[in-house]
Amino acid sequence: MASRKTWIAAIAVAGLAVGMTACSAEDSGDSGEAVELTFWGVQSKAQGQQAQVDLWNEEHPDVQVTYVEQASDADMTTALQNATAAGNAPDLFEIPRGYSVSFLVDGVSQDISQWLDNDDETFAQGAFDFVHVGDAVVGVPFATNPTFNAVNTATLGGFGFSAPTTWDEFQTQAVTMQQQGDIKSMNLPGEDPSYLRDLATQFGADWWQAADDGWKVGFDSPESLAAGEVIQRAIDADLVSNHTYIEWDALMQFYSSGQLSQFTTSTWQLPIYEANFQSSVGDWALAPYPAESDPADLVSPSYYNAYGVSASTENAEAAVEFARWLATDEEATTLIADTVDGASLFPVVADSSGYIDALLPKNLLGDHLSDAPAIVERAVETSRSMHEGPDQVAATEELVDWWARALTKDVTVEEVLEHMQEWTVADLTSKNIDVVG
Amino acid sequence: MSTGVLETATAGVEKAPRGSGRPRRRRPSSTREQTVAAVGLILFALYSIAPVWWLIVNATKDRQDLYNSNGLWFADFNLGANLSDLVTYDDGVFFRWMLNTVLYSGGGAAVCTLISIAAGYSLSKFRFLGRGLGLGLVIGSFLIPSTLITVPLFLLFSQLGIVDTVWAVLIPLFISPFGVYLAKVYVDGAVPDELLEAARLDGASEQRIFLQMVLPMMRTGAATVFVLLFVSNWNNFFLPLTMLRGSDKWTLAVGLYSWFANRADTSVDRTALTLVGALISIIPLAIVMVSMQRYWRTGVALGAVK
Amino acid sequence: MASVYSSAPARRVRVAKTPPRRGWQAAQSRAGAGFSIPFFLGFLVVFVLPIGYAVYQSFFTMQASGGLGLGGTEAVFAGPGNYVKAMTDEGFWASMLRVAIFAVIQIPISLGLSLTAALLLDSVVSERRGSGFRTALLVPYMVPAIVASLIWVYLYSPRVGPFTAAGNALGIDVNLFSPGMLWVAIGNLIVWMVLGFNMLIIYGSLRGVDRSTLEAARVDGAGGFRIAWSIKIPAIRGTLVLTGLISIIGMLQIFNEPLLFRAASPETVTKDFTPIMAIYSQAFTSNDYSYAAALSIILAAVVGLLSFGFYTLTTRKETS
Repeated sequence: MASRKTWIAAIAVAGLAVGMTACSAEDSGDSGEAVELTFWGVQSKAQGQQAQVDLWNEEHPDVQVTYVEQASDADMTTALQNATAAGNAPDLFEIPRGYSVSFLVDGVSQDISQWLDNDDETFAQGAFDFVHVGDAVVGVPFATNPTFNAVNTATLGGFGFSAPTTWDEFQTQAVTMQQQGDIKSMNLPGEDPSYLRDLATQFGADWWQAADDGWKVGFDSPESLAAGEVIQRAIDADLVSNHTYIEWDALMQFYSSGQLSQFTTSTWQLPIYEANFQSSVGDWALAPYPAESDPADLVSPSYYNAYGVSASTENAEAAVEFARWLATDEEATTLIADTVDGASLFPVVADSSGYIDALLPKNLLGDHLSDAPAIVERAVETSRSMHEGPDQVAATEELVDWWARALTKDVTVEEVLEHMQEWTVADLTSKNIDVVG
Repeated sequence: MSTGVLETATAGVEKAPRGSGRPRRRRPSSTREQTVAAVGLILFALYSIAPVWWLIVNATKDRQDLYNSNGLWFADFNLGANLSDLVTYDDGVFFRWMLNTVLYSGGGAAVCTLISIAAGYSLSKFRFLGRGLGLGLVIGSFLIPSTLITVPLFLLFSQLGIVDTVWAVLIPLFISPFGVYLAKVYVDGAVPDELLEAARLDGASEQRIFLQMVLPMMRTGAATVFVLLFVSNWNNFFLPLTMLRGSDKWTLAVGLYSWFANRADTSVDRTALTLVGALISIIPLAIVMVSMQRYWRTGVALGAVK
Repeated sequence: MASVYSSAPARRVRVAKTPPRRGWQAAQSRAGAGFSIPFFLGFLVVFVLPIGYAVYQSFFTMQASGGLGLGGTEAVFAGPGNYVKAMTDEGFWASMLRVAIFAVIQIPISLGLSLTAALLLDSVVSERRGSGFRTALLVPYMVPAIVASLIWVYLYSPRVGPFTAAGNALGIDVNLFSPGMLWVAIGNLIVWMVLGFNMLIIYGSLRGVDRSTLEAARVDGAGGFRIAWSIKIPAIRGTLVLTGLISIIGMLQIFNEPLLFRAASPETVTKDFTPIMAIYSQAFTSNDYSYAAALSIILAAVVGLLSFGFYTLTTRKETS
């Protein structure tokens, strides 16, 4: 740790000279006064942000950033909404999950397409696609979660299985394991429908798609319904457990018990499991997300985090520049990718292979550690994500209510998707947003 | 109903010969009654305290034991390490939070108690134009959910430029309709009209009456109001969260929440810190409570009138 | 000044209910009103102005700019539109009914327990012991809310908690997160949190009851229970009404506890399970503050009606 810090400091000092000339060249028509930006982040979630800000301030004396920490995503949201109404919003902020499009609609963030493009391909194309909605760019992407499968080799090995490569294979294996050993193969918490969203993403659905003159709502599209089918099959065959996140201790114990054969996950979660698991450490191996039909056509569902620029800021260009630096500068991304002092965030730069080794936990995967980097790389290469919608969070709340009922077999997943189609169309229309198709 | 019983009670007094010193059928609070009371109170006390045992036990555990051991008994005793983590985390931000909280809770509750008692006294013992309306407004304001007024209050304070300062949190803490109504009820019961009239006839000014007669009589009432407000302020979460920005200005409630809220999302799990922090944060509260104990001794003698 | 007082007729000690006309009575009223000024000034700023703003906002709706909606949102005057929508909002009224039924059952239990605890405390002779019990009962009130939820989520947990384990040992299937036991679980959590709080309020009032009356009753041969029922309880009627009012309002406005259980069993606790949850969801998740404001005002009106009814019922009895 100490050596890394001195290394960073040395580079910072060396880069200071370069940085100063570069930055002063960018200052267009300024009297030479430092531009001051305010940046809101959720430090307890994306640790390492303060360190990034300190580094930027050292290297860019003409654009000084003040970092303000928010308590959580939910509080960031209300704080931003309040601040926008009061006129004292920060220049740059971390967009809480789900709000990338709705903040633009509600006037909290602004379209930054005039300052951000991916012509020089610094960003991974999937990341840029995520923030490119219609003709607008809703934010600067800075992190992603390549998604793959984590399998308990001891459990699978007991049946002579290896990791499933397709969902059909998953189903057959899981049914056998359930019947012979009461092993579950999917944990679906009632409060988190992300499994459904991930599968729909993989199958090519778009729950909200920006067309020319309105949104196309796709909960009941064939792809989406097909994804729902996979989950319904699992529920019907009793392959599914329902541990919720609020009973975190029970959840961790269950995951590590060997009674759960696999779970889909991403790099940022692996250190958590390593720290919390008391058993099965060393039994886990990474495998590709089971494919829809052909393993060669793998699509890995993923999500992206982005920074938003306030609609009322006077320094939009500087804010975008700072955000771009946070997301693509090598030292900055290393800081935030760190698994101890950072947040284990996976960067969205075009070539991210250099970060993978550091992000993998050493003990959890035991002998299977050497195969892991290739899996992660493949997940990154085959990433796809859906766009968020203008009423994403409200729709998600509604979805949670119905999703939980599907898990208790009160309704079918198909009925959930049909309901969400109706609900979302009605909701968008009531807000005076056009729905097409 | 009530007058009938009081008549019986006073009739009983007349029955017993005055000053004879030898009461008939006297039943002092019997041992049996004391035992029943003690048993009942022990049950209540157990019910209240037993769940906190979980907090004590789990504040001594490290992260892995927290999630894997029996919640009601100790595992590897890690309290020392947890405590040192608490003190050093983020440059000792925990103690900054504690100082902030003491300021808001103590300062807020003290001023609020004074304002509330003054208003309660006013609404209880005086008749003036608008009194009924005032009382109605106080009671009516209980009905307003705080979620509704937080946003406009934030906007108002932004206009006034006091957002992100101590005043944005203190001013709302100074105004408690609940405190006023509680004070009014206490004044109704503890301050007899005759005493006030006697003082006025003696020529005392209203201020003097309030400061030198009413306040001392209200010791228990004021103490109750103060303690309830203090504890409520101590754990108040929504107000500092909305009005303050930046983690060094947070109160304990917000700080602990921030440590805990993201535990499923990060590789650094601060649940152990939250539990130790919560345990430590109860200590000042307990100190305040214990030091206020003397105000709940049996009521002060009523002085002149009787 | 002394001469003015001494010249006033001695029997005129009872102040009239109508606004006084005599000079000194007017001065007294003014002084009395003066004591209220700090509070009401602050009240104006902290309550009246924000509520006024909220009411004003409730007459608007937020409309996007059409198309993809990326052009921003603006407030459009909607007159009574939000209120009409609120009156026909099935989910909202279902949530009202839900909490009302809960309140009717919960409040007598909660207050009964607090009253019992306060009475027991009041009858304790030893000062030391009394203060020990008092502190013990206030411990739940001192525990921060997140920690209280952590504790009870653990205790209730069907997987790792002791209640289910104890139930299994006795052969009963106990699951406090199941839909059937949900209200019991929430109710117990609330009672645990407010027992000490309500007890303290009632106790503070009991301490003001005239000791000589109690002594007289004892001399007459009344036992502890009789004294409590016939003397103490009627004497603290005002406080009991207060705690009743607070409890009604509190129960109808529950938010944090159901939200906690939503995470544990979201199929039962929907996002608008209680009125405040519905309001919060509208205000912050859907960013529709105007509709939330309308719902809040309707909620306040209903709660106000119920509270007023309770207050009149219980205060009228006193004078009969």
